[in-house]
Amino acid sequence: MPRKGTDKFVVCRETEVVTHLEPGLFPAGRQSEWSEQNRTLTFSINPLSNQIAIAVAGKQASERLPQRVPVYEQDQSVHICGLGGVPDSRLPFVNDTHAVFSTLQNIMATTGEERVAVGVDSLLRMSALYREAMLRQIRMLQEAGEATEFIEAEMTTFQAMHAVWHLVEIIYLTTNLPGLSTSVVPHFMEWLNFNFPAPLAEDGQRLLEAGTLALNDELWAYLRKLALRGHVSVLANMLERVAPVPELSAAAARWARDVAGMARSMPLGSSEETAGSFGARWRRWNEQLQNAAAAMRVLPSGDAALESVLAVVDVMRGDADAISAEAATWQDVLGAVLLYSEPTAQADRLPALAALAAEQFEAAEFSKLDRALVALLSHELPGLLVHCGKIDAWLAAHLADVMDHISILDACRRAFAVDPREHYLVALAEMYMGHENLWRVALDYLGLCGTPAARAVMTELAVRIPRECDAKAQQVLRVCRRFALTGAADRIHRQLGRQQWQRGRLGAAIGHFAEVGDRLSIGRICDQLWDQYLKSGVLAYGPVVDGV
Amino acid sequence: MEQEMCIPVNHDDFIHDVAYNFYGTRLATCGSDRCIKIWDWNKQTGQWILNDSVSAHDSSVIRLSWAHPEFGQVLASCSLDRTMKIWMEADPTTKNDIGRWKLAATKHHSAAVHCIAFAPEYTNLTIAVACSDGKVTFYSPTDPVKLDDWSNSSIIEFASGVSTDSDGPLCLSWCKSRFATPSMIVIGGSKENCIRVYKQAIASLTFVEMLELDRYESAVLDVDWAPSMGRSYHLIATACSDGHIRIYKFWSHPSMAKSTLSDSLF
Repeated sequence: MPRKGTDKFVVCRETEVVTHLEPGLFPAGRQSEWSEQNRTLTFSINPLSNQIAIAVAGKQASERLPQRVPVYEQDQSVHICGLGGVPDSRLPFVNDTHAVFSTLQNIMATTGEERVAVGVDSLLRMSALYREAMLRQIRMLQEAGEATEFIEAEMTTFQAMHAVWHLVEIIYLTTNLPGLSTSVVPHFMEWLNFNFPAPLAEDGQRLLEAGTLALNDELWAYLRKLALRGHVSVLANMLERVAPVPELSAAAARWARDVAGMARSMPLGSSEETAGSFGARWRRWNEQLQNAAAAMRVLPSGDAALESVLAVVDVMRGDADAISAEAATWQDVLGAVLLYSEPTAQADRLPALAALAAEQFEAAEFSKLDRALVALLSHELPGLLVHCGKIDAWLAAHLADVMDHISILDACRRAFAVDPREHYLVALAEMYMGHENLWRVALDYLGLCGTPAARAVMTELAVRIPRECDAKAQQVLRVCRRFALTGAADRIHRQLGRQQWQRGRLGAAIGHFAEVGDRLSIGRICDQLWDQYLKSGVLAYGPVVDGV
Repeated sequence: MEQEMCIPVNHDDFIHDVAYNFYGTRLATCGSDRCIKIWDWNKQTGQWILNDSVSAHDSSVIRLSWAHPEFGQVLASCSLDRTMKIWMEADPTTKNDIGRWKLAATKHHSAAVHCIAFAPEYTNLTIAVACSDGKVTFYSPTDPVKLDDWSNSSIIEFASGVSTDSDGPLCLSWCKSRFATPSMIVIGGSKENCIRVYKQAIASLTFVEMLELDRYESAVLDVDWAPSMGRSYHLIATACSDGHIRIYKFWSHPSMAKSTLSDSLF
């Protein structure tokens, strides 16, 4: 039993985080057999990066074994394995967003009395800069040429990051502001059609060029999708193109033209119109759709084109069943419900509507992005951060930072065992440290995080940065001075002093030891010079004094 | 976790330990072929280059430990030949990759040496050596420049009575916190299958038992003390042959110790 006043946790296989080495170092399914041949694994964690050096090792020394066990070639290697670092293709994105992050911290630290008003405007500007950086990265990946597995994965990640970030911006910076009564619907539909474009414009073009429009089942599915996503202008244009087609029945042609007209007259809100006035226009328009649907229903059935036009009308009048039947994703459902049933909804309606939309689909099949978006729409901020951390470390870190600046992180801090902003920023910085060109960026993140734990990590990482040349050593020392890491600077000076001493550069060595007041080492160097003089009779300390 | 590269270290027998240096720019390996190999990371080529291969001991080399670079390029090794050896890089500027590492000191023991660890640099240059006779010996150099003479500064008799190789090896790990005064070390293993924390008495510089963390039914294979990183408590992990890893949380100051587990992280 552990001693009283201590605490014990036993790692269980069911709860442990398992990271599998690909490819494995022993045949799959033959671990026991391999282990019985005196084999195990040994490792060493790289102190500066996310790499681990792993090797097949002997459980016991060979001389302790009852009989000789042969060692094969595949046992004679050390494998350097990574837990995921920063690929070079991300360097422009990392550097751009680092600049934005630094600027944001400086702005938020200096806004003073007008912190709230100035802060939100600044946050919105910075948020837009973050999104621009993500979009630049996406464009760069699209133009990369051959679509490798890596590029596809990066595209998916950045598109997911943009989708989450964009929605956070809409909910917390654009619409949900104190004293501002703004419908979230137009912003949500813009978000939906930008981040999850459907249906695709090229599909519509292909359908129009294919001919035999009225007989094309794909066309009607395309038109229903246009209605679902609120592309009412395109919908109207296509209905007007279809209406004169001879294959259409007279009733279908007539209703196609009428529905096109209704689609064109869909009310759009403006900042100059009151909610009441808009609501009245909306109700009138909705009533038109209801009457049209009722009229179409009494017509003889069996006309596929007419039934498709009716389905379009049902979607546009906000019929829940029709929307669910046409929607491929929960985002489709939520968008259509907002657009056609609650066109003036504000951000506080999102949790309830998002829950209704999400429960129509299998949650077990949700992607990491789906889970993050549902958590965001439901205002489950702890869950949002956790899911964002699974999408990408950058997203969780910067999101936590922005949430802290908006003052919404405080409410969910209790859900975490540690400060989430600090946790995610430190994790991001540690990932950056693994890239040899990002140590400066990593130290900046830790320094700007501003917490004691981040400073502790920063101190430990700063002293571990390899100093291949004097210029780099001076650069590291400048960073230590900037963030007042006196302890780290002391340790670096001692290390540099020792290195210079070993190289025979005694003046430089004394200089470093003098910086930290290490009289003992300086004394030993002086003793060394004195011994040299006594042996050789030559005073060789002139250059040393100059060096000091 | 993907394999990024492979270093064909080509020991002629089983490998027993792999150790990065302080900066992660050097890698040392050792094995039953009695050799130590040291590899350098070449930033320009992105490859690991063999720095030196040393026929280090008269028996299998079991463990390696790098000293803090403040003391130079110093590597310690231990072996079943009952010795602990200190190696120094003679001249880091030479291009010759043979004979760069020189033997600085050898310490003999009465039983096989299974575990060694240099103390964190702020406790000065000290190395702990765990032996199969149940004792942990602490050495410090009399000359911190030449490192050719190491004196015994303290001994912990971990196992009561006489211990042999068959009782199982000892393992140890230093407390890495800069703010932990006095210095602390955790030791586990041997016939008692227990884990104990020792602290260094300020006046006498000897190590005294501070607390026994736990005792097991099966052998202790390894222990590790987590870096503190600003925490007010310490974390120690143990690995046992019962297949479990256990993580302990404790406070070094009795006044801060919790009588209940209500603040448990877990």
